[in-house]
Amino acid sequence: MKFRKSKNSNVDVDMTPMIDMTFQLIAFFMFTINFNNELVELGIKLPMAERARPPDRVNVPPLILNVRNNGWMETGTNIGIIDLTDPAAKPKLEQFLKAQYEFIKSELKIKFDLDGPTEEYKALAIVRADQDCPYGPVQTLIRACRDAGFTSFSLRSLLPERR
Amino acid sequence: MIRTVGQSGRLWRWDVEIKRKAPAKKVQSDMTPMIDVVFQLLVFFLFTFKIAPMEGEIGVNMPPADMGSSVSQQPPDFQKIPVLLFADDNGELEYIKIEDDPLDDSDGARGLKTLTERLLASKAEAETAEMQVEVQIDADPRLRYFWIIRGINAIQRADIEAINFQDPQPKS
Repeated sequence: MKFRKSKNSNVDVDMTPMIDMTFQLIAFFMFTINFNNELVELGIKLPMAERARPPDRVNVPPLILNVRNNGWMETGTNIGIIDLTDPAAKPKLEQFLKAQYEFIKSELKIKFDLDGPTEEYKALAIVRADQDCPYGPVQTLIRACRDAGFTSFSLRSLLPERR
Repeated sequence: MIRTVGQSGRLWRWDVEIKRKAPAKKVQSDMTPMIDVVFQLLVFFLFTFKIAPMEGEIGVNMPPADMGSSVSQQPPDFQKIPVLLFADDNGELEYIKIEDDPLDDSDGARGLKTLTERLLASKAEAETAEMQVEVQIDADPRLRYFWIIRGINAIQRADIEAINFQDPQPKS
């Protein structure tokens, strides 16, 4: 039986729909990416608060403090982890918070020519504590923040699901 | 066809353009590098994409360290209500006190509902005297943070937004 030999034709695949879709996807990811989330530890189980409000827009990036259920806090700097349950770690905590406060002050000076935080331009410390963490370490942290100069605090929680 | 010739007798560039009438050729550009880069970007965004739950905030007032937190530092039209939260050995909420008065915990919510009711009454009293209310939370350091937020929820249900923290007190 003889088969007819087909011509070796050059088939042009239309790439346009695929490129369109790919650009759509890239645009979506670009608009939804939030590099601030890098400061947030997703392993922390936040408690639910009924009347928590969505985070306010701030002029200066806030200090985000992640407290794990064992009372440890990851600083994200060369200081490493601070055990908030250990009184001996207090100098390390003070050093870290002082440095962070000075950084915020320098940001205020550079960006807004302010000598320190004001009512509008706050030095905000956000506490993201695990719901199973004892209150003692959280209280130690808030006190230390206040001693370092922070006067504005907020406790992070999950927002209730809307129905 | 328009034919223009420059003074020097040579054809200028625009002359050539006007003259050209050949059918436009289909230009085949190589799409491979662009698709490569686009896929690299797509893979990067796919791997860095995190679905984080929506988070909210609860504002807390903390006076500067040099001001302390004594009653005398408060404005005169501010009524401070101390709320004490006590923990059992497992860190769960055992009972609540307003000042020295233990709350009834038979409400099925370890006294949190009673706390809201009592605070609503205190707030109404304070408002008749044209005063504002600030709640000072004083909790056992062993208490789970979960209960602190539940306590704040109960306080906020009484429409009180001014919340402050007192130094942790050991269980009495």
